[in-house]
Amino acid sequence: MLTAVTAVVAALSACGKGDDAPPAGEAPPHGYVEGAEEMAEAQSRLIVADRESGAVRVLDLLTERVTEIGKADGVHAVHGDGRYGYLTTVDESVHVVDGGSWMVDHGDHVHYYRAEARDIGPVQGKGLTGAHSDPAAAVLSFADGTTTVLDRARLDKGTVAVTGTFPRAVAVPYREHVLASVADPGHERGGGVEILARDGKPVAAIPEPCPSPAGEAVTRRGVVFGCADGALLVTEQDGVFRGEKIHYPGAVGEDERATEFGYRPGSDTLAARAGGKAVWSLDVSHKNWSRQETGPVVAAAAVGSGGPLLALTADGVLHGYQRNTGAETARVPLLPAEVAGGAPAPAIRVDNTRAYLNNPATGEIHEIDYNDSLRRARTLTVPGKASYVVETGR
Amino acid sequence: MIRRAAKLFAFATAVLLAVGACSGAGHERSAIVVTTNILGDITRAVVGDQAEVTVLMKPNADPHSFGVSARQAADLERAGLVVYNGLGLEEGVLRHVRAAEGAGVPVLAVGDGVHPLRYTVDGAEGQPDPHFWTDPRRVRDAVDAISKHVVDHVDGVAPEVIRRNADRYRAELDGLDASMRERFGRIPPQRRKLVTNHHVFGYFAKRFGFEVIGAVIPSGTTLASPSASDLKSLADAVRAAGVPAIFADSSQPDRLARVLADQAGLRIAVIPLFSESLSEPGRGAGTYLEMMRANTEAIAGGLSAG
Repeated sequence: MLTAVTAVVAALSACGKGDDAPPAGEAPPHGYVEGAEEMAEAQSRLIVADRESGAVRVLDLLTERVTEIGKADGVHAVHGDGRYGYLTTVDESVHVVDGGSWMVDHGDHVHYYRAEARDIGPVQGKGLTGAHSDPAAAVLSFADGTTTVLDRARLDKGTVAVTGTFPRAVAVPYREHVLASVADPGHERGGGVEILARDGKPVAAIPEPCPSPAGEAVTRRGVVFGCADGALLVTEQDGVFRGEKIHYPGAVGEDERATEFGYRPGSDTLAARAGGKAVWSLDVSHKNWSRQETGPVVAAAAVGSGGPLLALTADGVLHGYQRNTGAETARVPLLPAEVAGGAPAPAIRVDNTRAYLNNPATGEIHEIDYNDSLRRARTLTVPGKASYVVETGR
Repeated sequence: MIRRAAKLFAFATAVLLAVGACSGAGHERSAIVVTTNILGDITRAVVGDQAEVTVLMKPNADPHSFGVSARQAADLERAGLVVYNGLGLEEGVLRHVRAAEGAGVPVLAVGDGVHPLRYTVDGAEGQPDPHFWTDPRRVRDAVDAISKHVVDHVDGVAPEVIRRNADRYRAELDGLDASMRERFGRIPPQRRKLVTNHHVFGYFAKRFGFEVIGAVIPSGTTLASPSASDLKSLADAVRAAGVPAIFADSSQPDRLARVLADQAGLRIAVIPLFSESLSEPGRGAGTYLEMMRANTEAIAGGLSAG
């Protein structure tokens, strides 16, 4: 027996180096999230930021419980990737918070998880324009034309770990790569889309140009980039990435083109403001645009799958339009005009069953049943102001 | 006692060899590592006290996304046999199973031997359905494969004991299958329908003559302030099926039932089932057999009511 013990010690010291030898204590399982629970249904939450106080709160839409999770002084924008909120702050860095609810899509079914919402910490970068995640990477795009990649596994454990920063204007993780519009350092916009490895190394380029890219969306049918002449849809099959342009129906000026898409995650239809008085609707499956006259418009979002096109006009009325006919199917006054037309602008967030519209002047958030003539299902309230809102758990 | 002494001797020799080789290939391979807790329970029934069985997936976990610790990964590479589903179920640990295979560990993909069904739903068409355990006869096939691999690959087990254990467990499975057929046979055929948001009952349905009707179960935010349109898909499915119960994972089953009654005029029971994981012991599905009996009672009871 003594021989055996000695031998084991010798074996460990001889073979331990460079090996994936387990540490002395029990390491937490890979990918394990402390306290995370799998749930039967979507764990919808809203990350709500108060511009005045900087308070960041998470509103659980199932329990209506509000959790204070941190402070982001001078917050003046928020982006979300379905789990994390990325708050642009006064020092022009980004403050990351974990909404604590997320969804894992397995194609034929999905899994829903819930954990404690929590504060994570800052990431350097000026003027966040977009944030998207896949299981390995969270990719942040900045207005100065840089892209920052965060290690998603480390983020899930509560740590900000930058694995790459490179000069690209609009970037989205997709199929184990990063799709990014090409921009020269210091320039905001480029002229095309490249396929990069997650560390930023170029892999391939999409031949179809995308002049002056701005705005991006991830759909089940591929990634959409907004271009001066239309939308570039990038898809992947058997390791090959392809680009296809969906041209605007006619000449569209710089001030009328889509630069920011609002949509239900998973939807194949996207919405974007078309200048000040109309909304674009892009059907990614049928590859066409349609333009909806709305009057002075503040925010727009698409439900897709036969659901309405949603638009908030400056008079505080939420409108529902049927995409194919352009007919207005419902209208509901929800916000005072001075709030709807003021700053910060309210936002429409859409999930599989409801849409949410915040009142930035109060702590109110309206929950809208878009399948039932824009019925106001609930009005939820957080302390302070609901200046900025993103949804998690979807 | 003699066996134990021999084991110790073999261990000492093997470790000494390992010092020279650094590969670990020489030591005794007597441990069995199983990925999911359902397969783990079945494997334990076959192995009995003949070898140590380690299960990586905890009770109430999700087989698709559970992970392993560094220590468990190391155990995998030193195992005498790794048992896993293999039909695309254990995404989180598959690379560790592959690594173990690469290191020379025998691995058994149980799903390969159970004549898997193929999905027909959009998006997963043609992919094998990994949830074969909902059919006890396929679990019988699994027992055949597990016992054969244990006898062939795991050091220090008595083959006759493994075979005896496997025979006994197969008899239990036969009894389970017979009792399920008997129990479901009493449900009128037109009521053998599972309106459900579970996606694991394809094998079950084929074995016992059920129809699975996939349904969208209104979620928590919907139930907070529902309208008839929220319930339309589910209510239509229930009406068309003409069943008195639905089988759903819902965080608020009672509220869902009440809302269905209020908004759609449907009086039905909302009944939970065990699907992809055993429970903690004593919580209704501590073992595979317990899980199947619990589901059988829940389904038969639910569909016979009213």
